[in-house]
Amino acid sequence: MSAVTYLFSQSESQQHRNAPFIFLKARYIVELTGKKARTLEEFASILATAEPTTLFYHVYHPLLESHLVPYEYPNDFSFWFSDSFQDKDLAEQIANISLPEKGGLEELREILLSKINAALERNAQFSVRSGNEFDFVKCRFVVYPTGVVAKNIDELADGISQASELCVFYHMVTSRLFKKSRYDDFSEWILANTSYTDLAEAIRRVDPTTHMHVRSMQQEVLGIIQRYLKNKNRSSLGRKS
Amino acid sequence: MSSQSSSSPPPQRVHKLADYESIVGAEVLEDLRTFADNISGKTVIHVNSTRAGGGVAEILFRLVPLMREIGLNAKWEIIKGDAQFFESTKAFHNSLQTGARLATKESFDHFIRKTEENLREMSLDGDTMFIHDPQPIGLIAKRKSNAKQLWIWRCHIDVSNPEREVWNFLAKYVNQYDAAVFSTPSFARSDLKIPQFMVSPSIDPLSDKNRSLPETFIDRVLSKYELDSEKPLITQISRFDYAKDPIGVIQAFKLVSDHIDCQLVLAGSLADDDPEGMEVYSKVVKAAEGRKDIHILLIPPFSDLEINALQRASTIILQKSIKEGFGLTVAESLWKAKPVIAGATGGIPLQVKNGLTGFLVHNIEGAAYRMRYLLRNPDIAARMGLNGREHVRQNFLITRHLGEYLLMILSLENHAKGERFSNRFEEKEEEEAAAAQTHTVIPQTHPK
Repeated sequence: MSAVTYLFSQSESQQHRNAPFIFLKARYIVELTGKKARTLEEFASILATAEPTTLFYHVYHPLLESHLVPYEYPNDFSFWFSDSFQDKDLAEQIANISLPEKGGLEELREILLSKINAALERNAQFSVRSGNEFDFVKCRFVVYPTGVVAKNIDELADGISQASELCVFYHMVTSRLFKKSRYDDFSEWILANTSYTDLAEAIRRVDPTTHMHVRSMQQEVLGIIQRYLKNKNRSSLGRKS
Repeated sequence: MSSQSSSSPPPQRVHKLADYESIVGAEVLEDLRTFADNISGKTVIHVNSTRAGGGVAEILFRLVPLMREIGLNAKWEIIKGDAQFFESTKAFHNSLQTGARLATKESFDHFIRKTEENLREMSLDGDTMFIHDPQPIGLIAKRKSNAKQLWIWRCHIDVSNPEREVWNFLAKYVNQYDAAVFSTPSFARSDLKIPQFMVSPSIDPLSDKNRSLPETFIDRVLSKYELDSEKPLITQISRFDYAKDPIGVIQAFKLVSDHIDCQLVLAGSLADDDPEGMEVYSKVVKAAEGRKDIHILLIPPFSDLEINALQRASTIILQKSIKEGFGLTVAESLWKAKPVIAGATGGIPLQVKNGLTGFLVHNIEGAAYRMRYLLRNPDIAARMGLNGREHVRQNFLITRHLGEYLLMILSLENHAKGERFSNRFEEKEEEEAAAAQTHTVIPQTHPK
């Protein structure tokens, strides 16, 4: 069953070289699995066969949720390991996970399982009390255009500056994870459609998981573009004079 | 189809989507219209068992007009039932939530008889059918085998540890639906063969129960119920139901009031589909006998402004439920920036983030301790209240609820069509592989 629904035609979504950047966004709906873990062994077993959207939702989606109510840990897994499972060591390890380096959620699954399996050796017997189980969910998402397109780098900067959190999150996190890419959509477009290789590389160094809010990630990306273009204009003026 | 109830909601202003923009922002409304454009003109029928009392009726009273405004042909229908039917479904409800065997053979037989009567009388020909809770669950038999209808069972109660006989009886119906919807992840069932979604219920920030009120009105309500506006007020608003533990609330309050001068209000109404309410109310009144600082208020249905005023006048709000579906009174209270002390059950932990928007408690002593703590630390209570209001704004307002129903319909329709909308993501990989083979590198910005 497809987890993704697109509210636009395939042809509209085609984005080739020399094509404009189409700003998209997605909304997510939680689908329940009915799978619950009381022990670390159960947790690892469910995680090993969980759908990719389960990993995405529990680890990365919290970035999109309210942080006005701050949590000690940035994702659902680490929060449960700390709050219910009482394994602060494991919680901290899972909290420090970034986006997969090679791209894709299978790499994340391997990382998670390796850390959990190591913890199993010291915490195999513990079982949380009834009501504190970890409830695994997955998600479906609907992707749709924002109506904003960018035909050049200035318009891309304008679009990012006015984009909603849903839009920035989609291009910086969701899209790259599900297309199994190492890179975000913005830098890919810049690389494909401009000569600003350095700019694309700088954006690729932005790690979404180091941010508590999508807004601050958006500001970081925008700041990189603005500084780059300013320096470029300055050096260009310098050459002319 | 008429309700078994003689009571109907009084007229309230019907709000337009645009009225919510100042609260939720323009993007939320734009997105709702985008989703609706893709299913415009379709008929969506909600069916439940009462128009009066309880969270389901309250939500539908608001949700159905909004669905109409965005272009859906939305309807709300009520099943018919006699006293024995509602006693049966209350037994089902309690069996599902407590695990106790309370339903008899007569309960099941009568349920089936009344379901058949409703099936004969109701015309359920919508494109999407939302059937709410166990009472109308048997209407799935009306499903037309050749029609492209979506049938969704919307379960508002806790079925995580049900009494086996009742659940098995209902599960045969549930598995005939296209999807089930629960209010929290913990209610999900591993024994269902259909997709299960999570959609939290919601409150309407513009309704009489939740809109801002003049202080003068609040003062008049306090005077009407002989409450002291100078004294800290602790309130629990809920149906008179054992699951809400009203006796436990009184016991917890007594532990607090021995040390701190304060007053308690237990206010609620009796719902049409809850025959147990009067019995519980009588026991609560008895438990409060001789206490001038405990006020038991039996408020008629649709006293929304008064409930709103009582919540706004409160220092702390309790929802000391032992079992709870979701507990919309918690969201109502948080929306009014009040810290909430509540039982860690059902959907309450989604709303009360322990130590941030209130406290989760597990017994009478826990409730008493947290009341004392918040009464003695008003700055912390105020901060929790503000956190709570923002938490509700982002997660538990009716616009979010409407959006998730639309997303679910879109997603289920997508699946039903059997179209391969996706995977542009998969195709991206295939294309990259092909490009690599021909050495024609065409970097793609977006997944295709």
